[in-house]
Amino acid sequence: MNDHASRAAAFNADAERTGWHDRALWHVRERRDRAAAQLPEWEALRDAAGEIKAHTLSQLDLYLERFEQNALQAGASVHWARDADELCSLVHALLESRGVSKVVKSKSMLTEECGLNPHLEARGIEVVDTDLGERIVQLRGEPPSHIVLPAIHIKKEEVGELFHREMGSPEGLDDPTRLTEVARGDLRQRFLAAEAGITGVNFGVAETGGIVVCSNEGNVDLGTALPPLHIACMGIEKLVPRERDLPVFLRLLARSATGQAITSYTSHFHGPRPGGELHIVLVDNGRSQLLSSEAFESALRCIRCGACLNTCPVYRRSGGHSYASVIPGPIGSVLEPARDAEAHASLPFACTLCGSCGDVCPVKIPLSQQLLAWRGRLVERGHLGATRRFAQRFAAAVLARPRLYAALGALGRALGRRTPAFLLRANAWGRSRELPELPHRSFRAEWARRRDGS
Amino acid sequence: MARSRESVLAAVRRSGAVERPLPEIRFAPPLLADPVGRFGETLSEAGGELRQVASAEGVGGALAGLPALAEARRVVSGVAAFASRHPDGAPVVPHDLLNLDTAVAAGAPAVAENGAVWVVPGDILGRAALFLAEHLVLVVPRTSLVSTLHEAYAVISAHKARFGCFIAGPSKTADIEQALVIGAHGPRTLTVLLYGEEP
Amino acid sequence: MRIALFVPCYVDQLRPRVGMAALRLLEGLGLEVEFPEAQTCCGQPLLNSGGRREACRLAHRFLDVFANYDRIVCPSASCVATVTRRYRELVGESPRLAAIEERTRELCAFLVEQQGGQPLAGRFPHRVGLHASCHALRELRQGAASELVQPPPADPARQLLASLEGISFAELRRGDECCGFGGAFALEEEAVSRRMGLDRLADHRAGGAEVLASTDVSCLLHLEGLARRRSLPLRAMHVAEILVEALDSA
Repeated sequence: MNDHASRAAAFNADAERTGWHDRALWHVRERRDRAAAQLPEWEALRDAAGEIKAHTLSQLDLYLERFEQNALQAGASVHWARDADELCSLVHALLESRGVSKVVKSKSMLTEECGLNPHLEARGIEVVDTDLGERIVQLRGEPPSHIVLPAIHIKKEEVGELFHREMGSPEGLDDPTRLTEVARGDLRQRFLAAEAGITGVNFGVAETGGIVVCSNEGNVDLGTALPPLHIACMGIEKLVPRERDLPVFLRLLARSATGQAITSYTSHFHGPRPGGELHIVLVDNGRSQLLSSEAFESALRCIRCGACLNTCPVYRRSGGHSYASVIPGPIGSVLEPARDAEAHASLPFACTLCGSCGDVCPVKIPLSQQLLAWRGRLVERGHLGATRRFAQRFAAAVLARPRLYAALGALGRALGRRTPAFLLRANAWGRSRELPELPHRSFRAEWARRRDGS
Repeated sequence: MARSRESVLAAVRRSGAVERPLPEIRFAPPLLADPVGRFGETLSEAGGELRQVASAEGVGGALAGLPALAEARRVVSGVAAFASRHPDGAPVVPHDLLNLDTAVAAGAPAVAENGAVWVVPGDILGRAALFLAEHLVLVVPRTSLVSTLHEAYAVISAHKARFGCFIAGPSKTADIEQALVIGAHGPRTLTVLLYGEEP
Repeated sequence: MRIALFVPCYVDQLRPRVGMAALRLLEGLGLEVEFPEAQTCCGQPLLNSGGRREACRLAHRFLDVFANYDRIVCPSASCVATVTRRYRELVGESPRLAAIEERTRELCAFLVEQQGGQPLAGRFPHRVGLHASCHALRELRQGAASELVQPPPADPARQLLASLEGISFAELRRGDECCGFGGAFALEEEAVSRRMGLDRLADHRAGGAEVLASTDVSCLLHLEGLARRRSLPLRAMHVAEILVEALDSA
């Protein structure tokens, strides 16, 4: 069974590591808090960002056409992909027609979602992820466990072993600075050898046809300044109407993501570099369908900052891989069931409904309400099994009948008091917790006694 | 191809969303008592260093005295006050800049709230140099300093350049156990030289 | 003013003394309180586990049972949040629902409202770890959520406790992290739930808490169950229980 709880339990088997993972991400959340607190207008920025996105999504066809027109005018080529397959074949065709066999790629959750790397690799094209965290997970042959911090689940000693094996760094090296230096040397050569650079897109500006890509490492810019061919893969929800909308999002993005005031590089591309090519691929892959869902449409506002992951007490204590999805954490648990409800049915339940995700979200997606909405739908569609439905119907039938409810409650408490401890400890509550001391009389029984004057 | 375009647009239209209003963006810039001081702080938080010189005439001298340039063998400069250095011959393609010591570029505006400087390189060599160099120096007029990113966008007209970049500090990563490492793929240091009197 | 006491099902069955404490506090203010005996459950457990249709039935039932009261007071922020925040999408907006939403109060909020900020004459010479219930904080907006950058709304639970003589509060490293109860989550995601609870306990203990207090019994049953299994010297008490004990020892 594809079940978050069992994978989370496996993660928790290593208590020390669980604590380490939790603290690392809480630290990021605290940095976010400090950065947000520096702006008295923080909440107003969130409001504005949410409204701009809501507006753009409500007029998305117009903005897409406007963006296309302006991007073409700026000299870019614009392509459209209905789904992951189309994106993959399109990018492959572009690379093949130009004889490209070596590609450098910066971070793009969209290409993860579409499985672009395996598609290209199977066709003999070398794809090197250049973001350090992405490179680490690529070399380990695993997916990122976080959308901003792809290797947050990996310890420096493990990176050291990996780099020793893959890049010949000295054995036992575990100093982050020196390990980064090793990767820098290795990747520099790959930037120079690359014939094309693939990037994601943080924002597309409809009124100018420009795209904006944010990074800290400089890999986006090396990957687009060296090779002459730049392919930018962009979800159709990434648009904002105007250039002056950008600062609203840029002021929120890095502060929410890592607690930086802005990323080291915020690069704006309008058309290709002289003598080069810029291809922008607009990808749907389920987004238009989400757009027509009143309950979940606002999840398309997401700017992939990762703040909801960092704040989620469940994510921090279960690790990104426990979600078995491209995007983990609260936003993933909303987006992934839309892609495949059966496979991701357990994700909306991997949540206590604490609501912290919605309060950190820079574009004010009501995440916990959407997770709750998913629960109802998944149960109605029968993805959670018949037993749950039966239990719910039974409970509702009892709770609709006060006397039956009171009688069963009394019976339950009486049985509970007589149940041997070893049995109480064998269930999901009792394995970790004592059962509360069970009172002889319920509140309503006390009330009745009082009323009857005893 | 054309079919995909029509199909995506049709699917988007089918969602039948009701138009939501586009808000006006009005964020009054904070009144900073010491904007240069604030810029210095945020730049330093981003890993960069602020230097100042009182006049435009002093820029050449100030640059020559910077550690990032004093010892540099190969330099790509985009400012008139400092000459490029190509002892092994002038670069033709970005790949020729592999062992570039330092890049110097003009930038404006500088943004007090986040330490960023808007840079539009003159050509592809200038652009590649910003990211390939071991050290980067940005020369910025004091008068261009703004307090927030909103004001910066009001003056840059980003779309007029094929490529423009807000640069805030040197290249960095925290991808290994959240330990901040300066100098990931790009420059290991960033110096911003702010010149001119207070406006 | 007709006041109905809404005692959530799990309080009714598992911690009736919290209901009794609430009753005493309300009557102590000279208010006449009724307990509509047809009440059972607001439907939250069903709603949260995906049983929308069943929750909807219970919501309608709730609206019937509590239709004729001026105030509906409940010693559980979580259940109040279900009624005042979640019913809307469950049963649709209506004047009847609007009236219920407007009249339903979490106990501490109601007490503060009634007392008009008068301090309580009570004594509780203990160090209290106040566990912020997520639903008090982020649904009812009682207290300062650490995520938001705005002047914090008042926290009636803290306000009431702070007026007691001799009380002190444990300082927490993570003032408003979830305890990991989450209803069925506590059973279905047992490992994560346990870990979250143990982390909260460690934080409270590091702050020197002798008593763990909350506006929600559900969080407390989970935390208390974990603490008792490990024989930790922590008493878990609903704020109402503390107030009653404090009044008695004044």
